[in-house]
Amino acid sequence: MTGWWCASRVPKWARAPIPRWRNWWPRGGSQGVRSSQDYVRKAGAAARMMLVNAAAARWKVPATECTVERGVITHGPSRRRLRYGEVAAEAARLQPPQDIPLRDPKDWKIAGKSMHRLDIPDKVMGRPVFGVDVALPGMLHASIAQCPVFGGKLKSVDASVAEKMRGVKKVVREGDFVAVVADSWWRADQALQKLRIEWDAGANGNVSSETIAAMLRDGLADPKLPQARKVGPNIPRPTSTTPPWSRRPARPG
Amino acid sequence: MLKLNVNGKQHQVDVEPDMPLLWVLRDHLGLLGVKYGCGVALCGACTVHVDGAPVRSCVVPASAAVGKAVVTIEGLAAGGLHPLQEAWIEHEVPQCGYCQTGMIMSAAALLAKTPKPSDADIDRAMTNLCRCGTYTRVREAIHAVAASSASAAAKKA
Ligand code: FES
Ligand code: FES
Repeated sequence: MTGWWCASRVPKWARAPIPRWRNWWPRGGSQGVRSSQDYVRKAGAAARMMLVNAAAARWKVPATECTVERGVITHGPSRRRLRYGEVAAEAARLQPPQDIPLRDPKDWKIAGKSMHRLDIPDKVMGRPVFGVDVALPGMLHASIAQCPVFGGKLKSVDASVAEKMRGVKKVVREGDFVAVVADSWWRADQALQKLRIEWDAGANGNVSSETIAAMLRDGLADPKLPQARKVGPNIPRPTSTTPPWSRRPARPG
Repeated sequence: MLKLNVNGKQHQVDVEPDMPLLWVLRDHLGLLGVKYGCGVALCGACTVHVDGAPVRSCVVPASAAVGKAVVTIEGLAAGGLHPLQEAWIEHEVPQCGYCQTGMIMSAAALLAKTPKPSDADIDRAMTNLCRCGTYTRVREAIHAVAASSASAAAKKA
C-alpha cells in the first residue's frame, strides 16, 4: 500500500480475506511477512484501491484521476485531498477488487527497504502496556493454587490466617483450585502461601515417569501392533525414552 | 508509612515494610516500566538502581530502600533519552520489549562503573534473561555507547 510507513501501523489489511495456501499464516522465525509477501502486497494494494474508490465516489470523480502519496489521496484536477482514515469507513463497505495489479518493484517505496520498527522507542522507555500492566477501576487480583495432580480435587483449606491478611478480599474454593483475591497480586500471593491446603490426588495420584514409561512399553507389546507395523514402517520401537515435559514460557504473557 | 526517594521525588507510601520494592513501584507509584518476570531474582526484568547499583527489586523489601535514591527506567534520563536508550533504538534491540527496561538499567549501571566494558565484562554484568533472545544486539548497543562516549571524551581532551 502506498501508505506512509506510519499509516500502516495498524495492519488491518493483514486480516483482509485474501485466499491463502492452506489458510496458513505462519508466525515462527519472523517469517510472517517474508513468507506471505504476495498476500500482504495484494491485501495492501486492494486496500489502497478501495480507499481511492471510496474517495473518488465521495468526490464523484473517476478513480483514475486520483493519486496517492503517504496515506493521502489527491484528486489531481481539483487538488482536493483526503487522508486514508477519512474514507476508511466507506472503503470498508466496498467489495474488494478481484484484479489487483501490483506495483512494479522499481517503483517500490517501502518494500525491499530496511525500515525502522515503530514499536522500539516506546519499548526503551517501558511504555508498552503488557497484560500485567492493565489496571481497570476497582480491579482485584488473584493468586491461584491448583491441584498438583491432573484430575485431583481440593480436599480442605484452612484459610484462617490468609483471610486476616492486609488487602485480602476473599478466598475462593473451587473443584481443583483455591484462589486468594486481594487488592494487589503480591498481597494475594502472600496470603496464598499461608493457606493450609489438602489435596485429594485422585486416580492419578500414583502416576509417575516410571508408570507412564511402563504404560508405553506395554502399548508397544500389544498383540495388535505387528498388524500396525504392516501398515506403516514408522511405528516406534522401544529403544529410547524422553520424559514428559511441558513447554513453559520464561515470562508471563 | 515508608519514605522513598524515587526518580528524584520524595514519596510516602502506606505499605507493609516487607513488600518488595518492585510492587511498591508498580502498584503504589504507578511506575509500570519496572517489570515482574520471576519474583525470585533470576530474570532481571525488575532491575532498578538503588544508590546507583543495579538491584532486582522483586527481592528487595521496600524498607531497605528508605533513605536511598531509587531510579527506574522512567527516571533514567529525566525528560530525554539516555545514550543507551538511543543506541537501543538505533540497533533495534528490543523484540517484545518485556525484559528491555531491566536490560537497560543493568547496562546503565555497568557503563557508569566500567565505561569501556569488554565482552567478558558485559557477560558478567548482563545476567538479565531475554526470552526473545536479543542478547547479541544488547551487546552491540552497549559497545556502541562505550565507543561513542570514548570518542566524545577524546574530542574534549
Ligand atoms: S522479577 Fe525480579 S529478577 Fe525476575
Ligand atoms: S525482548 Fe522479549 S523478553 Fe527480551
